[in-house]
Order: sequence, then structure tokens, then C-alpha cells
Amino acid sequence: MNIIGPDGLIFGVDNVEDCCKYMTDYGLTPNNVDSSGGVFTGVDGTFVEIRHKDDASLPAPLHTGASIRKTVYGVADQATLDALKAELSKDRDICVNSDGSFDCVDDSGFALAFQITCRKNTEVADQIVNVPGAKANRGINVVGSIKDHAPKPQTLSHVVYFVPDVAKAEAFYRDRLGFRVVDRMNPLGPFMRPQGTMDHHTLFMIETPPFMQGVEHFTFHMLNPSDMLQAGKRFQDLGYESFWGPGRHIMGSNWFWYFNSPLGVHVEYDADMDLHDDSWEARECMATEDNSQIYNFTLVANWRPGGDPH
Amino acid sequence: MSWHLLCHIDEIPLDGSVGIKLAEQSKDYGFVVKKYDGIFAWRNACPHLGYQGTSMAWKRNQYLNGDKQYIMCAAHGARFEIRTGEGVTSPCQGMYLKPIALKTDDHGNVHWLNDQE
Repeated sequence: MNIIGPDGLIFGVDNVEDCCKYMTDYGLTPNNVDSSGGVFTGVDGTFVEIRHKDDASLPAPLHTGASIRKTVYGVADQATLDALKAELSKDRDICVNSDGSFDCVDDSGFALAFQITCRKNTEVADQIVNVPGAKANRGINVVGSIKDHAPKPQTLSHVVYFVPDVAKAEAFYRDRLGFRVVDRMNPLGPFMRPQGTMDHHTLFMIETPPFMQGVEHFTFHMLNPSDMLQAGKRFQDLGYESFWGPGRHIMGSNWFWYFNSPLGVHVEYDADMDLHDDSWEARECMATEDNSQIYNFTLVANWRPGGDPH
Repeated sequence: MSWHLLCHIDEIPLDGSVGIKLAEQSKDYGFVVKKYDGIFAWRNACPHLGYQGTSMAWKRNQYLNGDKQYIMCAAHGARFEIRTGEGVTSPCQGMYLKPIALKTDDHGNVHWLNDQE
């Protein structure tokens, strides 16, 4: 199944204006925003959609009332979409939409949609970091540090679910959608990637009691760690509440910075995630502090040593 | 255990919240919410299973849901009663926030009790 990854996440909230402002300040581009909500896109067109929780266009909420209302997966082509439709219609209702996409519900109760991906190809430099002994990656006379730079989230990276039965949830994504288990963090759950990407994970699942079902966080990839740090610094300076980081994970190697949000989930910036293919053998580790990151910093105010010595 | 000045009562917006910050800490110690019938103060520590103690604001001084009728934890969306601190939605239904004692002096200045000292 050539599923590329999540194209979008749709939330139903009771604070539409706050959420729209938040996603704009996070760095996404607002589209068609009004009192009913809006769509907020990364550079490649992947998106977060905000609607009021009572909006009739939304699927029914989870039994917990969590704000996540739909995860939209992008697939490579019509053949994949048709294959998914055939596979999933074996044991559940599917609803085909006028644009050819279709909706269904996964084995944990999360509403899903599948569509031909909306991701646009983006043209970016391979690397901006100058490395001793390597070619001049950034280019001669190209400065790396730009004070007013407002880094843009590039593409929707991953979503993390709280699920009541992680074995059942994993089986659905593995056996029905063809996801690979890349690593495991025990006793929480698996990091998974669909076959259309080499990203370490587009889905991580954490087993919880049923009353906690929902979303822990979602993340957009930034171009590189420097952009991730500068975006997070800018976001925190706007008053938003840091939850964890900045730091660097071990599973996936991605740099991270998590924030609280008015959507009632954590929202992360990440960068520089590991890539894997099917030759990779899944690792396992326990969910301890030292396995959760290599390092974890806390932002402090800008500072300089001493005053003017002249 | 000692009393600390927060602000004047008029500096707390009606149906709004204000963080209680200790100078040396990056996260708020607690927060107050002003309603028509009083001011209520709670520790900034969500009781969410596995996340106990996590900060609840989504932005500086912002602790309430859309219609300002509930405290909302911006980590995972739990709603709490403003006056009792009782969790009323997932993932914190039936759990409670910890209260902070308040007093308002004759000049309208609001003071809070730090009982962790």
C-alpha cells in the first residue's frame, strides 16, 4: 500500500478563533479563515483544519470527546486508493466522497480519510550546514544566521494517538494498511511508517486506559534543526507555553520542541528525522527519561556576557 | 508558608485568567480565574494520568476554554469546573485540581498563599 503519510488533521474545538490564531502563529499559512474555522497549510500543502466541535461537516467525535475528528491520509495514486477501498470495505462501512476520496473508521475508533495526496513537491536546498572537510554546503558568502527569519513548517510529519488496545491498533495499521513497525518504546507502543515514506514514523501510538483516548501531539517537519530552534524561540516569545524541549529524540533522532495548544493536544516542531527502509530491524527500549532524548534544554532570555568594556 | 501579592483585583479580567508566577520558575505556579461571583485560584498542575503536574496554559495567562465556562488543560484538553476544580471531561473526569488560598486586602490587592515554602 503506497500510503505516503498524513496529509491533514481535522479538529473540532469550542475556541475556533484561538485555534486559528495559534496555527497561524505556529507558522502555517491560513486559508479561507472565518468564524467557522479554516485550513492551515505547511509549505507542501499538508494541513490542519479547525472547525467548531458542533460543525455538521465533521465525523462524530470519539467517545472521550477528544478534539481530533479526522486523520486524512495521502496516497500515491489511484491504484493505491482503489486497493485500500477494496481492503477496508471487507469489514467496515466506507463513504466515498465526490472528489474520489473515502472515509472510514480504524479499529480503535479514529475517523480516517484516504485521498490522492495533496502534497506538492517543494524545492529546498539539500543541506545548509557547513561541515569541516565537506563541500561548502551553504555556499560561499551565504550567511546562516538571519535575525528576522520566520521559519515555515514544511510538511505534516506525524501524529501520536492514545489508544485503548495498542496491539489491536498496531495490527490494523500493519496488517490492513501495510505500515512497518520501525521501533518500539515499551510499554507505550510502536513507531510506525507507511510504505510510501522512509520517515522513521508518521504514527506513534501510546496505550492508555480507554477514557484517555485521543491525540497526544502532532508535528510538522522544519527544514533543519536551526529552523526548528528559531521557530520555537519565536513561538515562545509570542507567549505560547513550551511543554518539552528543545531537545533531540533517540528513536527517530528527530530534534523536537513541544508546546501546549488551545486544540487540547501538544503541537510539536521537529527536524532531521531518521530515514529507514525495509532492511531495518526494529529496536525496542523502555520509556525512560534517558531513552526519551539525548538532551533536553530550556529556553532562556537572550543574554550577553558582561557590558561594554571600553 | 507565606502570602504573596499577585495584582490588583481590577487587573484580572472578568471571565479571564491570570498566571501566578514565582520569579525563579519558567512555568506558572498557579493561576486565578475571575467570575462574577468571585476569584478562584488553582495550582498549574494537571492531574492527567501519566502527566501529573504538567502545565495547563496554552499561552501566557490563558487557562480557559472557548466560552470561558471551564478551565481547559492545553496539554490534552481536559475541562475543570472553575469553582470546584473538579475534572468534568476526559482525560481528567473525576480528578481535582489543587486549590490555592487567596485573600483580598482593603485596597483591592489580591494575595495568594504559597503553602509549598
